[in-house]
Amino acid sequence: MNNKAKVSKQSWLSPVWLIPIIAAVVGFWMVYQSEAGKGPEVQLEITSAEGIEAGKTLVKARDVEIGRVDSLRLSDDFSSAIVTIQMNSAAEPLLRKDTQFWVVKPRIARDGISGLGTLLSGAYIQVEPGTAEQRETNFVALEQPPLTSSDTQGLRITLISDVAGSLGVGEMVTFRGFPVGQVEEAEFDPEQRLASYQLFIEAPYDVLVTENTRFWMYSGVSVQVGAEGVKFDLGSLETLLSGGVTFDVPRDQPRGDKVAAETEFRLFSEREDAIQQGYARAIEYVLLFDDSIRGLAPGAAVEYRGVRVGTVAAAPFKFYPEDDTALPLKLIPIKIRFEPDRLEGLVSNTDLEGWKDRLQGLFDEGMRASLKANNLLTNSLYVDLAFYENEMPAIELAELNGIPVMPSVSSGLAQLEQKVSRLLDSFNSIPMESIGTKLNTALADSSALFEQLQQTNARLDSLLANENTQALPAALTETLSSINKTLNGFDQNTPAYQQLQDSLQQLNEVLRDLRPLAETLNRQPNALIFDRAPVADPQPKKGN
Amino acid sequence: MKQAAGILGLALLIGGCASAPLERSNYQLTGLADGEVALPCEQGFPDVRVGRLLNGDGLVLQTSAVNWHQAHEHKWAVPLREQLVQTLLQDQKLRQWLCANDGALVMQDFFGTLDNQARVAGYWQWLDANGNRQTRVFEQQKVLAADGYAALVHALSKAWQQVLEEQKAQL
Repeated sequence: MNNKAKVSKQSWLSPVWLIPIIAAVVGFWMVYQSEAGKGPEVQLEITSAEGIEAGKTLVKARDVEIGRVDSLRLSDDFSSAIVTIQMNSAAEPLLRKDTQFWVVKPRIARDGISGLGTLLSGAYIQVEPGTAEQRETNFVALEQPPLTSSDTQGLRITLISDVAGSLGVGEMVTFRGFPVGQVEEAEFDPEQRLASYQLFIEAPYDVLVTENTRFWMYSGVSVQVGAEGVKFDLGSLETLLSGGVTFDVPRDQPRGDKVAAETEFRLFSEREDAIQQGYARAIEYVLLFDDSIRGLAPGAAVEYRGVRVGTVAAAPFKFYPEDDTALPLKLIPIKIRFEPDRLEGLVSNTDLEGWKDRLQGLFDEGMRASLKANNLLTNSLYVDLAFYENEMPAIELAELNGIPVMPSVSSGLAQLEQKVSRLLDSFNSIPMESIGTKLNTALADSSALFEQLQQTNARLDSLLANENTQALPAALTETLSSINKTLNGFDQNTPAYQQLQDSLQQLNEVLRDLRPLAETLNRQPNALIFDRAPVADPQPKKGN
Repeated sequence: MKQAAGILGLALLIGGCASAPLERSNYQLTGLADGEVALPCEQGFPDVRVGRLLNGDGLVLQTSAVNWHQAHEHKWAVPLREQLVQTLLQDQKLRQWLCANDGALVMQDFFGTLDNQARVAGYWQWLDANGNRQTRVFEQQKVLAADGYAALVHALSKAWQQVLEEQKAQL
């Protein structure tokens, strides 16, 4: 027996090694898989990282997970937090220059409550994919979720107002009560001290915004007390609670062309202001008055024969002169806007340049501006354009600060004052003393005249005392009495009258006799030839 | 032509002679003082009007509810209107009143009725102290005492006198 162990040569590699190899392969595979699924890293700058946790917080676009927060750190200047997001590789095309990121968390805003679901799930980061060409991996997160997603069709415009706080983000934009968009941004520019609001008007309503559109605050309630009585207007409950902004084109106005995006409009506080002051196209004029402009306020009407043609823009117009030679405060300048668009429908052409020439022609024909009282009780004034035949000398100054000067005349009241004072002046200038002297001489003359008259009178007396003159009335009486006699011939008691009377009576009798004949003939036309039908009169009977 | 005219003239002559003579009676109201002159007022005779039916010279008799007959054989000797004027003016009291107040008489009925009565009706008009026109209606009926037109005239006269007395009593 061979007790020697049989030694066989061991193979090169033990099968045991397969296990770690497989493990390594799987490991490599996993690493590869993991690295291959990773997209680009995105740096998101955010003011506060509230609710965001590294490795946990998801990044979603339209509720599809496209990435996860990888890490959180402070920015170099500690002013914000930098969130590093690991995007999926499939999300890479989303990352454009205009892609928007914001944190979704529970929010209560004017337009409602949103993000309630995140109470349980925790906050997540929402992505609004961009469309720009340029790629980008560094973003700044939005403070607020955008109200309209960037792919919504519509029109963005800007409203400018000198009153801030009148509109809030998310407020409705209505057109005749129908919601057509909302306020997206509200900013206040401290430099210009103007508030600007960005509005988004959704398609297809964006065509409603045209050149002549006016925007005003819609408070829901409007009360107007005017000459026509009290006007009370109540909007819908929705607008009553939320307010908002509304717009329209004033009646009788052309709509104009559709505006481009980012066009600026003025925001008026009331509809009436919007209609009266919203005329964008205007020719500015300066008026120089030597009357008091008390009662004239910016916004007052400029009228021509009762038709409103413009608006007072500034009263007084402060033009900041360098020296006072041009206008040493003797005349008060006011600025008006002549708005030809108001004449739409009355004139064929509302072209601005054409109107400048046309107005110049009207000034040459004697058209002048003057201040007139609008309301005697409130002492409010308006500017009236009218033609004056004996035109006052036009003011020499043709321009003030580059704005043409419209010739003006004193108002009726001031004119009256001037006339009265002129009258009083001329009264004062009457030379009373010399008149008195002249009057005295005149009196002396007249007393001489009286003497002469007395002499004439005496002569007349003597003439009347003359016999011939006295005989005159007697002759006159005689003539009259003979006329009387002639007339008496026709009196009732004269023979002529009696004869006439007798003849008439006889004629009467003849007529009476002829009457039965006429009656008979009437009854029986042949009575002349044939015997008259005997018609006996009925007999009255004795009464009971 | 001449011949034709001659024949026509002859025919007319014969026809005229053939007709019976008109028997006609003339009447006058009683109470008219003969020979007494009725003087008019200063401004003239007072205004006296009679109805259309009474304006003729025949006496009027009602023959049915809707018929009146104007007699052609029984006539007023003097037109009724003149008789009325005369009766008014011959009474001093009435004359004075009429002249002073611009009085007027309108006679509407003056005839024999269906129930054999003489009917006199109409109204007086005058100006009162304030210059306003006043009206007073009168109406009288008298039964006919006998048959015939003479009796009718008597009854009418009586009724008319009654009216005058009443009016005088009012003054």
